[in-house]
Amino acid sequence: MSGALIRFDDVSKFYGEVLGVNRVDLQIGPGITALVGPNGSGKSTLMNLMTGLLEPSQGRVEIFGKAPHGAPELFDQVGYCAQFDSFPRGVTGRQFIAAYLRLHGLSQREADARALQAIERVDLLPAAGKKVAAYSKGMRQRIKLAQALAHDPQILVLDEPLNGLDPMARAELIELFRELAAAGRHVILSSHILHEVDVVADEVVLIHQGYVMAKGDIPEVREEMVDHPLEILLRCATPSLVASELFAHDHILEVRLHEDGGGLMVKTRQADSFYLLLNDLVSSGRIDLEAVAPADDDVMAVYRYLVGSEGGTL
Amino acid sequence: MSATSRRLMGVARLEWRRQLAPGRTLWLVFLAMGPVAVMAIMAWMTHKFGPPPGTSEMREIFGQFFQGMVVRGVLFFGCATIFLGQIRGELDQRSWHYSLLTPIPRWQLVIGKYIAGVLLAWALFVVSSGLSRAIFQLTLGTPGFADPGVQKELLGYMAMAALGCLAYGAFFLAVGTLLRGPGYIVAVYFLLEWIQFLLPPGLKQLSVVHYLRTLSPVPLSEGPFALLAEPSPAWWVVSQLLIYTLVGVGLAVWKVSRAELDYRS
Ligand SMILES: Nc1ncnc2c1ncn2[C@@H]1O[C@H](COP(=O)(O)OP(=O)(O)O)[C@@H](O)[C@H]1O
Ligand SMILES: [Mg+2]
Repeated sequence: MSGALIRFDDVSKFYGEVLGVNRVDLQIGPGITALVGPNGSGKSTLMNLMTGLLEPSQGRVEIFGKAPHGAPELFDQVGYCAQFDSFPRGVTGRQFIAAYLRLHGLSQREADARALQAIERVDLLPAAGKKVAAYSKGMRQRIKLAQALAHDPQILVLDEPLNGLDPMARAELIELFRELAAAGRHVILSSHILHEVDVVADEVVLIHQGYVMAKGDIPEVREEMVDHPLEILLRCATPSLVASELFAHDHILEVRLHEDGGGLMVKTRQADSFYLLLNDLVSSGRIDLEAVAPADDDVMAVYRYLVGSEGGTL
Repeated sequence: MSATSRRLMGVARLEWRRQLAPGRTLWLVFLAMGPVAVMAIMAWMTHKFGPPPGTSEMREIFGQFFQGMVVRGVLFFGCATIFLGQIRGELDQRSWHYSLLTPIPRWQLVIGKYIAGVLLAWALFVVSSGLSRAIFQLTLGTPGFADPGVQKELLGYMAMAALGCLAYGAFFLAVGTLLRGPGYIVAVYFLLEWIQFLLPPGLKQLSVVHYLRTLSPVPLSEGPFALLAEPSPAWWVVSQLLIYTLVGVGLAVWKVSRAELDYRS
């Protein structure tokens, strides 16, 4: 991808024995990119790798063409709003942001002024002089965001930035993300709810159990998800009869008889059509089934989970 | 100011703000004022009930008091509070990532924090050591502060406190950076500081008291188990303490430079 400032090249990360992410190839360009996946799928791991807080066990991560771990100069161009809901002891919102702006080399006066600008962007001015420890969850989320964007970085990495916010605040922040993207920034955000970000993201990266399962704009992702072949295990007394009934339909990709003679494995591209067909065959008495079980329902399950109950939005 | 020095000043200011959160400040000031209060009470008692026995004996009592209460009490726990509160404190509070995500090389973060911690410890404990010795002079009565011997002794105690802060600081910075739960090490180390004269030579090198004792402005009797040996010259002891400090800070820098962020406790 041209203009991609973030590249993952065959990156795996293990925490001891535990898989964080596996063999990720990814390039992230300007605009808004959403990393979407259930809890524990590896979103935060990818973001920590991008920002050098973690190092890959295998492969290479580059931002601006450099490995982020051990390249501190990059951080004038990167802002990261991490998942941790924690702050240095005893600071007010404004001190919190100004203190770290000083570490970017700003004078105290510049830092104070910039801190206020950033706080204003997340609409938190009235609380700027209050201790962060006294903030509500939503305010803490926003002050973290302000801290990440205070030094005006080219790349903004935001881990679940909409978490814990009311709908009003969400709408405002989404507007802010759009502004940043329109100004040419790379905005990478994560969420475990697809329809929370699908309206705002230019690109969606679906992650599940450490694997990138699909990537692209929303229609592309949908196609990839829907077209992902699904395997279904049928148990019945007469597998060859069932096989011959199924074969006639072109959405069936493959049928394999099970070794024990008591079942068969079916591979299809269209789950819905397949289940309709199965209903027809059973209710018209042409076949007799003991059990139906998706053998590999990962993809669909994740998809359904992510889209939530009202799956129609995708 | 160059950008680098501005950044280091930034690290220090942030560190002071963290260190001087209300509850901690109270504890640190309480520690620093401890020996001053003891000496003030002693001076008051002298004023009230008359002077204690001979001056040279009294000066050794202060010397022992300094090794016991000031070094093993105030400096030990004061530096444990300040320097375990640095990187270990940031890890425990999950605020370390904010610093790691700034354009400051990690070694500079560690050094900046350490220097800020040392300056704070000096402001508290070197001042308190000098003050205690000065007030002690009221108990002794003669000679007055104008006496060069008295001034030299006072400076000697302050220098010992300064060196103690450097070495304890480096020790606790390193321990807090290398270990997740340094509590038991602190307990063992505390014990070690009290029985350092019993330790085999190798372990003695770890004890800050072991070095500081030999720098005492007044000769101290070594206790029943001590091996009699020629005292090392001061310059040699001071360089050993500085090497001790460099090793501690170096270990912390090494660990932080290669470590991944890990907040599990
Ligand atoms: N520090 C860690 N040590 C061990 N396992 C971890 C650690 N951090 C994350 N994991 C594991 O890695 C996987 C991915 O986690 P994470 O990246 O936090 O997912 P997400 O952000 O999508 O919820 C999970 O199985 C999680 O338990
Ligand atoms: Mg996460």
